[in-house]
Amino acid sequence: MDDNEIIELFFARDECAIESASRVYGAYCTAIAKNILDDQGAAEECVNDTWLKCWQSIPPQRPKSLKSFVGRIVRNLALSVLRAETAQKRGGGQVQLALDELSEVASGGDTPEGALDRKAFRAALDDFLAGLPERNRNLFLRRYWYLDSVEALAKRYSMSKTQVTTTLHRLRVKLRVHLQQEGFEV
Amino acid sequence: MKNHELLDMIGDVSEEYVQGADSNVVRPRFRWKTLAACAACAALVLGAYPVYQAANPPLHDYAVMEGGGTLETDLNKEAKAPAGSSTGTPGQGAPDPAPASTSGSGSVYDPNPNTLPGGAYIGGDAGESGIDGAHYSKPGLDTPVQEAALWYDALMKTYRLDENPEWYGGAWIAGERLLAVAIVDGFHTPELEAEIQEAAGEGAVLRFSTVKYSMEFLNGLMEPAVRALDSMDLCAAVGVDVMANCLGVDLYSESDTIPDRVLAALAHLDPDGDAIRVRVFTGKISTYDYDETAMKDPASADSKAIATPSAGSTQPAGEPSVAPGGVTQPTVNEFPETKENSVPAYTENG
Repeated sequence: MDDNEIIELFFARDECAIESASRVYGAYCTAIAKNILDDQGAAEECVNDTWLKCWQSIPPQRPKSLKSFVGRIVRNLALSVLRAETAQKRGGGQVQLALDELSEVASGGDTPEGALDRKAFRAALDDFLAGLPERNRNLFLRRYWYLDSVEALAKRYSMSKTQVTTTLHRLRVKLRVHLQQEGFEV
Repeated sequence: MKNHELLDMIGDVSEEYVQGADSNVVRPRFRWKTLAACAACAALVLGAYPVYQAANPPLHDYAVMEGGGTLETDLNKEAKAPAGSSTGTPGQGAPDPAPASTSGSGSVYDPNPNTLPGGAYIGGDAGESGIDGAHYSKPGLDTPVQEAALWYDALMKTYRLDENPEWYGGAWIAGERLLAVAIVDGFHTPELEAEIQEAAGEGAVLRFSTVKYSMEFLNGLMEPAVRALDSMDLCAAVGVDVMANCLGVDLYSESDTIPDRVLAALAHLDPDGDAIRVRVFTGKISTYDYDETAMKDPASADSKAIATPSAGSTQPAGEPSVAPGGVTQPTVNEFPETKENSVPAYTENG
């Protein structure tokens, strides 16, 4: 069953939509959630919440790519769960490591409410990614979007862990420079 | 900006890039350079080995037998020279597969028939007769025919052993009434044993053994082995040692070393190292001795030769025992059945 058929089921308010989406993208969503939460049970719970969120969002939304749509939902949900757990001194895993790494880019200062133009910032990020070689772009996104571990990236891209770490460090430095050039105070 | 805010913002990047990152997996690069280096090394090793082997060929091992050609005459012991061997001129002594008739040493003549291997002897004397048909000796008086030899003869006729059937690893008389038959490994079956037993005749006592090499193979080694020795300035004896199931190469030399090229050639013929047995006999070569003075004119012969009586002579010492022309006068006991009037050459006056 392709994305359009599943989306049509959502629009028809057919509960088979969730079952179909789960069958097609369940493993994908679980992998993202597990990367973030580092807990199988919490990841599955997070994925279930993803289908509910989809049910609530479609309609009115009609995503071009259902995969990206559910992926983004599960990522945000998992990060929310993680933040809640971190507040209770639980969890961490790859997210904490990624956050530590991103500290090199973000200064850590408070951003005044409304001062950050999210749309412009997203465009700056897209520009940054567009300027990267494909392998480096994919490496960056696998690390900071999918939150893959360094070991997983090394295996996925047939690189050594040192190469991955070094490349990611250079990309972060480059991102910081790019954002500063775009006028963002990071 | 806080780092978790940046992480959230990264979640909003273009779907296209996110999808691209999800599908992209880089397989391990095929390391052409590594492979090429390995291939070059392998080629170097593979190519260098034959060159190295050509420069340093494996050498056949050999045993140095001190004492030279002073071979033991008791051939019931382990043969010093290979059966069917020839001396001096390699290649002329084609081996006879019948050890009963050939296993005597080719380098030392032993007139005593009792010293043939396994106690074999030649029998069946038909007696001697003159040109006029007169019999000087009675038939069958020297020795009786040996049974094991008859069994061997029967096998020879049945299986054409002289043509070396592929199962045939040799046969020899191992005792008074015992014929040993060697069968090549792989052909040795109870059925073949039964066939051979039947072919040898009723009452034949055979002892079977399994050997590695066939007589055909060992005979085939002879010519190339002789060719390898051809250029050597050595006295060599080459022949098949049936009992040892190998080609015996005996070299007689004052030195105990053999040129590497010869050993290399033998090693090439015998990769396993057990088909050819190389021995070097060092020191003075013992040859069959005969009295040269007996061939000379008695008038010029030295006094010692004249003064010494021949073995078995009934003449007293000091009296000449050599007839004109160097012919030794026989005693009457040597030809007990001979008609005296038909041997004019051995008369008292010559």
